[in-house]
Formats: sequence, structure tokens, C-alpha cells
Amino acid sequence: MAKTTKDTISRRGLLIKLGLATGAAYVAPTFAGMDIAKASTGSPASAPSGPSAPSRPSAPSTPSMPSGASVPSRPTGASGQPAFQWRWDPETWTWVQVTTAP
Amino acid sequence: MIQRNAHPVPEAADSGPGSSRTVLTYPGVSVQIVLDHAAPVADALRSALHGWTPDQVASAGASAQVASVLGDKGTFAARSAYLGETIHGLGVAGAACAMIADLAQDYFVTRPGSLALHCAAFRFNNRLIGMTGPAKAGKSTLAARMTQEPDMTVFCDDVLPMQPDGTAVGLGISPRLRLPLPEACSDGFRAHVARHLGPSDDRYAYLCAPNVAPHGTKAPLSVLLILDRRPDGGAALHDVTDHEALHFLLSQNMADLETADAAIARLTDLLSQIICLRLVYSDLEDAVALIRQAFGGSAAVHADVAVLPPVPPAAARSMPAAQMAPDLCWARRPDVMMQATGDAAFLWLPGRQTVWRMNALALAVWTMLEIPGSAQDLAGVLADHFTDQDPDTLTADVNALLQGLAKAALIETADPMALSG
Repeated sequence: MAKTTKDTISRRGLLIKLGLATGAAYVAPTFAGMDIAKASTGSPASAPSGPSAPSRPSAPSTPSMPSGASVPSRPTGASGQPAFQWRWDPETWTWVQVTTAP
Repeated sequence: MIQRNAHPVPEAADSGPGSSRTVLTYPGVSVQIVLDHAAPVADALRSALHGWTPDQVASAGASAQVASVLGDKGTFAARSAYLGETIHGLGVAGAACAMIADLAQDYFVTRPGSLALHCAAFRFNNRLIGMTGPAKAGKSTLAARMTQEPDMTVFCDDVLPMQPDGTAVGLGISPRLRLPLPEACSDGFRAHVARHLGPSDDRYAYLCAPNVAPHGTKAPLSVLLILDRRPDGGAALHDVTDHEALHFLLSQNMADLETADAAIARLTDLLSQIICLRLVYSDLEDAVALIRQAFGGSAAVHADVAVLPPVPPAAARSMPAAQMAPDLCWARRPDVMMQATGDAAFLWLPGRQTVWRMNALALAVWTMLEIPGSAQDLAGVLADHFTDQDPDTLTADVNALLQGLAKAALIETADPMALSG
């Protein structure tokens, strides 16, 4: 059996095992990244008003913060996918999630 | 109008008799609060904080994290220890809020291993019930409304720290209401707000009701409600898929769990110990009545309250079109970790800080990549399942996903010749 045919049959088997039903409604494949790091300490100079605003937190400015516990993490920008992070929004006085657009 | 610029709060004389400067330290947090010509803000902090016992010290420590407020001609400028700029033109409540935000952030930042859930929470019937959700879902308003219920104790309206052992801690911060109150608020709630109105300005007000849990009050989280406010319709509880619940916890945790591995493990463990439901509502009073009925008895959810099926997820944003050839052969990176929950999955790389969430069809493509292949190969198999889809569209969609996976370094190119045989 040609490898291509064998691979196709194997992939069909994987889908069946996964439970993907024939005739299911089609929803295009999507995936998105989420940063699991802590609240950002970045400057809110371009703070968005809501969770979907396409703004990236700027660099941290906390040289005197306790070591280890407060190193802010940033979205993995190299991925090109949306990523989320927390930031204090001084306009609304609340925590907001900010999104980095691809 | 709030104005922001990069100028720091000017220095002033040290705290002391006759000085206009007050330096406050709060037990359990490292940040120090410096109030300069800001006596109303000091009063506001005393009113809005419950169970905190600050000490007034002579001056801020040389290496201390300092958050400060400077009063000037009836308004205040606030400089956060965590934000690198000063905010000018604040009212009393705004300036107090800036300091309280720093206290809250400092509390969980200086406690490695703690969670900090972005949620409101209250204790009712011996159960701690958290309420989270997207922006403007009504967390603060519902938390404020719960202070009207004499048999409920409000733990927070914004941030709920959780110790490594899973115990949640109330920080002792009064709920903060956006002004004016929504038109649909009941007369009873308006009267309650008027009775307990604390520090306020033209935008926000603290609600200093007696049943806000004092700082340090602890309880295990029992229930997490994902708030889903709609323009109309009655209140109802819906089931939440494991995948959605984990996604909410991942996205609503503010604390640094250091790695994706740790975050997934920690939050999956938390989910195994709590009930997670979606609360769909439009009317505040309906929501309160439903919560009382559902969680007022001994059962996890009262038998008279129907728990409806999960709400279908909102459409995700589509992937950017691929700029690469659809016949490129791809293979999974061998070290990628996956947790599939129902018909979706989370991927991550060990030691990294990003979790990738994929929908059902992306999971199907990922599954097929157990055997390296191209977008054309994989779309060809999917075409058997989605016979009404244009094959070119399928290929483009799969290629867009592969491009995203490649950019996330979750897959890598494979040489089809090297794989043959």
C-alpha cells in the first residue's frame, strides 16, 4: 500500500478515535495563546478600555520590586497569535485583560 | 477628566508633627502609602478598608515600594508602585482606589504560589461563591448588591487571593460602585447604597456596608459563577464545560504561576474541588433570588433549580490567512504537552508561560499530525467529514492553523522523504 494512502487511512482512524462525526457542522480551526503570568506592571500609557483592545503592555518599570516574586511575564510575541495579560486600567479603575493582536 | 503624564509626585517633607505628609505601612504587604496634602484620602482609606491596621511611620523606607498621593487644589495625583507614571486630576475615591489597588496587587505579588482570581466573592450558607466573567459582566454591582443581604458576607469585588492550600482570603476592601447606578436598580438597593455610601467622587463610590469580610477572613472556594449579563431575559444557571471552566480560570488568574505546567496543574486541581456554572441574567434582583434559591440548601445546587446545558461558545476570531505553501510537511514538536477537555484542548511547552487553546477542529488537525503531513494532506481527510465545504477553503483554513502552530513553535517542518517507509 502506498504510504500516502496508508497515512490517509491512519489519519481517518485518528479522527474516528477522536470522535469527529461525519456531517458535523463546520467551524474553522482556531487557536489562541494566553499568557498565564501575573498582573502586568506595565505602563498604561495606551491602556485599552476593554479586554479586546489590541494593545500590548509596555515594559515594566519596577526596579525595586521584590526579586523573584514579581517578574512580569509578557505574551510570547514571536508566536504571532493573540495573547492576554492583566493590567490595571486607570481610566476605569479596574483590572482589564489586554490583548496583543497577531 | 483624568490626565496622565510621566511626572512623578513631587517630594515633600517627611511625615511628622505638623507635616502634611503621612506615611502608612500595612501589615502583610510591603508597599508603603505616602499621602501628601491628602488627608481626605487617608479618611477614605480608613472607610474603605476593613480590618487593616496600618502603622504611621516617620518616613518611607529607602528601599520600600512606595505608592503616593499628592493633593493639589482640590484634586489628587496618584503614583502607583506598580505603574510607572503619575495620574493627575483624581477625586478622593479615585486616589484611594489607586492606593488600594497597589495594596491588593502587593498582597498577591509578594506571596509566591498564591492565586489571585479576578472575581467578586461572597459567603452564603457557609459556602464561598466567586463570580467572574468578562469586563462589565456586573461583578462589582452584584458584590455591592450582596452587601444588602444580611446573611451574606462579601469577600471582594475585584481580586480574590487564594493561598497555596486553596483557601481564599478576603482582603477587606469595600465594593466599589460605578456612578450613577444603573437605572434598573431596585429602590431597595438604591436606599441601601445611600445608607452605606462611603468615599465617593463623580465617577465611583465605595459601599461601606457592615457585612464586608475584614481583611484576612478565610474560606475555601466552593462555587465559581461565570457571569453572563444579557440585555433581557430571566436569570438561569448553565453548565460549563471543563474546557471553558479551565479557560476562565487561566484567563482570570492574575498571580504568577511561573509556568504553563504549574498553571494547568494548579487550576485543574482547583476545578476538581469546586462547582463551576454560568449565571445568565439581566436583572440584578433576579440574579440574587436565583443564587439564594440555588445555593441556599444543603445540595450542591437546589433540586428545584434547573441547570441548563452549556451556552454555545462565541465565535472565535479567525486565524490570519497563511502565507506559506500548503504542501509543506509538518510534524508536532515532541515536547508539546496537551490537556484535552471534551471537544477542545490546551497545548503548552514545558517551562514556558503561554497556554494555547484550540477548538474542536484544531484539535482534530493536531490529532492527525501524529502522522506528519501538509495542509493539503490533512484537509483531504477532513473533506470526508465536511462534504459541504469547498476543498480549497478547508486547505486554506488548515494551512492558517498550521502557520499559527508553527509561529507558536508547536510544530516544525518535516522532510517527507525522510519520513517515508
